[in-house]
Amino acid sequence: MGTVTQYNMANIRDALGGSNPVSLSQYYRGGPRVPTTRTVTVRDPSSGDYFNMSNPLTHWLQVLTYGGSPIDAAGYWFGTNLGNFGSGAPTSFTTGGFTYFRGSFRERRLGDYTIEDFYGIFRTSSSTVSINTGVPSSGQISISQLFGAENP
Amino acid sequence: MSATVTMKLHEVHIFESKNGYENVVGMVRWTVEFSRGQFVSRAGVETLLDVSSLSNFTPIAQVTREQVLTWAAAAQGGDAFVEHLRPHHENELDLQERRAGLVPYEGIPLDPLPYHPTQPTIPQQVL
Repeated sequence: MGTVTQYNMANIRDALGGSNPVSLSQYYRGGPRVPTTRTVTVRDPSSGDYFNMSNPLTHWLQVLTYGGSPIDAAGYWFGTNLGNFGSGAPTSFTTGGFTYFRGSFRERRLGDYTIEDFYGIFRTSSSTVSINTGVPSSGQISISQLFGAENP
Repeated sequence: MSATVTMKLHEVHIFESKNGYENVVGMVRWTVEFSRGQFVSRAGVETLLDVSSLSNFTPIAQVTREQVLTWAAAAQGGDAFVEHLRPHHENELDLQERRAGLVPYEGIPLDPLPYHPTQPTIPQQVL
């Protein structure tokens, strides 16, 4: 789906979906073709990842056995210890409204009994924003009120 | 081929008493596993459930594993959440497939890895 960019019925149907013959009554806000909200995802950083092995610690740590099997993982986000992820050493971890992702490989170190692989880290967060606020949810509706309407 | 998604439940934490109810599920640690054949990539999730309104409260004895996973997944955004995770884990599975069959070769002189016994390790790790 898409966004209405022209003042004509064909463009409305193409952008929002709908059946022929096109009737404006199928484009009330809150209906299946004109949602009231959209989910916005923000990636931090917008590309690539963060990596810092000194203060403030910012990295993803993957712990391996000498045989090479991952046994655990943990993350540090600008000094905050995100915890011990466990459960088969995941490569993403969701907590506190953020999803943290393992980024690119940076360094391998020998521990006393394990091998530690260090990676960059990035995170995403999602929020819900109101959309299509200019479109009526009932009553009279006009083509001009649908200009800019979106169906993500 | 798109990865198969499986949800696994690892920890359930309850409030012994909350707003007049007993044994209220408040936090769940679970995993979304993306698998393709023998390869698996895991997404760990810690979900705090909304316990501010308990009008549809289910006694803990009647709560199933599937119900808890359903609550947790819904709290994270349901299918949209899984699809948000998917690209990262599909990439991870691609890497696992490309690495499959590789073995270390030591016929060429190699430099030792750096040794850092005091570097941050996972404190709870039992070795």
